[in-house]
Amino acid sequence: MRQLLRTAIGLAVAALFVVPSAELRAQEYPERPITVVLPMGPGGSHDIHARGITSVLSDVLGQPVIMRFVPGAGGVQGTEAVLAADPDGYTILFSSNGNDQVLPQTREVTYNTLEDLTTLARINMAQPILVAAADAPYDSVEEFVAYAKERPAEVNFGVVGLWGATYVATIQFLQATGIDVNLIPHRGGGDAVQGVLSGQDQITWLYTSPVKSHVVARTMKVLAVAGDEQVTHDPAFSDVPTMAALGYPEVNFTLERVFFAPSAMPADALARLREAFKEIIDHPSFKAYMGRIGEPLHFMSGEEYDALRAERFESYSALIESSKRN
Amino acid sequence: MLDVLFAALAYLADPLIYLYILLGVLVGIVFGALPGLSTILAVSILLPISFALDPIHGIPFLIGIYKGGIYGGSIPAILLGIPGTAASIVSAIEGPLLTRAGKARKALEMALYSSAIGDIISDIVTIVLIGAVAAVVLMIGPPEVFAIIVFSLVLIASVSGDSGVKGAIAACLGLALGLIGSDPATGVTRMTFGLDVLAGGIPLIPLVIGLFAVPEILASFERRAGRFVETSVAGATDGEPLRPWELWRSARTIMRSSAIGVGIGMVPGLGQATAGFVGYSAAKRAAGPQSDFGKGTLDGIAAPEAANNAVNGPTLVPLLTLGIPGDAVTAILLGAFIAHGLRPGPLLLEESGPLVYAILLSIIIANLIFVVVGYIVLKPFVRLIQLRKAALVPIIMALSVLGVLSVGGVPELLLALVIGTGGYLMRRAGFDLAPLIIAFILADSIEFTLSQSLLYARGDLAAYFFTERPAAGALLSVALVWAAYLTVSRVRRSMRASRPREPGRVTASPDIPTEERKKP
Repeated sequence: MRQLLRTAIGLAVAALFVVPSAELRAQEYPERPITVVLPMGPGGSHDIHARGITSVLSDVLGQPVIMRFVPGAGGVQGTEAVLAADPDGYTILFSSNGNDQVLPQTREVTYNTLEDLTTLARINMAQPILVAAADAPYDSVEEFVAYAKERPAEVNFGVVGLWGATYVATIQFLQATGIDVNLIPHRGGGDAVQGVLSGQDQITWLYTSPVKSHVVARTMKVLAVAGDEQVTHDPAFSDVPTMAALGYPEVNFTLERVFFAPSAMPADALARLREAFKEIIDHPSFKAYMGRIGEPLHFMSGEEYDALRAERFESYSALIESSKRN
Repeated sequence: MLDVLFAALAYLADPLIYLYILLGVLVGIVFGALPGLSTILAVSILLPISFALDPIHGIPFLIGIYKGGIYGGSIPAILLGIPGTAASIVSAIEGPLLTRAGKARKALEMALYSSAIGDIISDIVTIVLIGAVAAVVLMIGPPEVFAIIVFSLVLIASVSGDSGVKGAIAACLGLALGLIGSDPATGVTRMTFGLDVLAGGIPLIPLVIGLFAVPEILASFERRAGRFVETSVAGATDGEPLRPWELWRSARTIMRSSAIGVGIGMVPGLGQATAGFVGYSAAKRAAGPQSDFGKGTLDGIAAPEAANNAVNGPTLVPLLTLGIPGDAVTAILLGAFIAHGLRPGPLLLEESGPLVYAILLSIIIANLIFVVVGYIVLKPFVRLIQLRKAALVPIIMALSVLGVLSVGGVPELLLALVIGTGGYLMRRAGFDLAPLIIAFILADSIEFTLSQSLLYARGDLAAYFFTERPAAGALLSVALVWAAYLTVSRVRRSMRASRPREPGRVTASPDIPTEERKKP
């Protein structure tokens, strides 16, 4: 009890000193809690990442970091919410390359993503993988393409989100292989998993996280991974061939988890936030967290990522145009 | 199986589990009871706390919030007719009638016990039949979901109100409101009238507050009585408790609703609100036209409360066995598992069977804690509702505004007011708003599962439903034949009614509650 009293008095005395000094340094960012907007509902992989990131971010910045979910219109509403807020550096966005570079070209939006948003950091990437039920009559991309060509427009191909999650990889795959399939939309990765497991869908692109236990339990099999790099962070997928190695380098979509902020924010806040994300990446508790959730790290600084965005945006324009023509 | 259960019991020796459940239930009741603050919000806000905990503490904590939240939502539904969460919308039908008759305490106790019974039954079914439930879940694809929704809507329509036409108008309006926003197939925004606030569809919380809170507030100005409770009370009292025989009389309803809830829990994307509606409608059908449904009956509380809680067990099955979350709350639970390094899916039971069973068993225990906590917090609410309207209405207004602001800003507030005015006018015109809200909630699923079914059918819908998915085809046929039969019989009845009225048709006097009459 006496100990408690002493602590309380100590804290009170300390507060006397802290309050005026905080007023003196009033200009130093951040001086109040920061809100991270997720343009989706709670529960997905972004949510799980954000929990780990925000808790470390608040340690690094010395201010609480609050998560706010703003789902709607495939991610557009959350982005608009960030841009509608005061660009004072206290409202930032945790989004993806798809939301940044694909969605504004496929939906009506009220903003110019390349001009209005600036990158704070890219956290990591997730490679789409092509999966089928374990008893499917094909074991490779080659066999599947032959199977689909024998049955034009008959193979049910699951896909998640219109121009979201796995849509781009699917369109790239269909264009590269020239097969004609029956595209079945699903609302989330879980529904697409169920589609394949129940035999309604013959094949789908998904990410490693919802599929892993099914691959290990041999209820699903993996035919390929998009891009030219094999999955390295998880031994369950280490021998999966890349689409580039199979002769389809154009099937290369990779989901990137990226933090953005309004370009109109003050320069000191931008610099402080970019610095903070660099500190997070090497933070031991953050690394431990990412290991526990089984996700890799592919950090890229905001400056580097900003330099890539315009070109990436352009590269999707052609794909979107040609898929509209079909 | 048995050895795994014994290993699970070892986990349950930890007293901290119960402390966290207790904490969760308390927080849940508070969030649920405030209209607008949803259970999902509570679970996602408190997730960081559960992140720091072991799964055996963190997940029962989240489940405690979830359980407390549904009951909390039923408190304003029963007392004021303003549901605190979507799951408790149906309790707003009979609840306020009971409250006005001075039976608020009985109604709240009925909600408490039937919730716990429904949940425990569903948990036991889940634990015993987890493998079978998982197999059934996998068989329910888009065409089956579509057929089940259509069947449920016909069932709900068959008992809603006296005027079939008005019910149909309300349901169509609900569907139309549900279609506002983004077209799921093309991403085009539709029917938004260029309003930004509607681009993502009408959000549920402003809609619920608009449809329920605004009309209730307006109605409270209309009625001259100084209090919500009509029976004159000398000073605030706790009211009469629920008698054992009253609970016993609803036993059949609770059992039926539990079975319905377990069934609906296996269907992806339907959830508690739907289960509540179907449970209530089935009970009303079973009770027949001479019953007290619509006049304030405790059965009308037991039916939705047992059904919406019985959803809980089976919704955990696809999460645990397939890694597939069925709704927003299970999606958050999935995140909690993953953050602790556990990967729900086919291997979870093998890898951490005792832990999974310990979590499932802790849900049963959560119900017992829930009953005790719920019983303690119920009396203050019963006293609160007896305050003068002059004191209560401003509080309700403030909470309603706060609830809308918790999910949006001024545009959402205006939206709630517009919807509320419309809802008030519809009520004055004799419309039943229940079909509207359930159609709104299901609109998205109806459209999505139908468009998926059309794609799977590749243009030949009849062949697909009847040869490839016979179960869905059969259920859909039954629903359509039933709907046709209801329409014909209603048209006939209204034609007969347009002739001079037959004498001797006596309705039960609403002045004397049935309970009193049947008392020995």
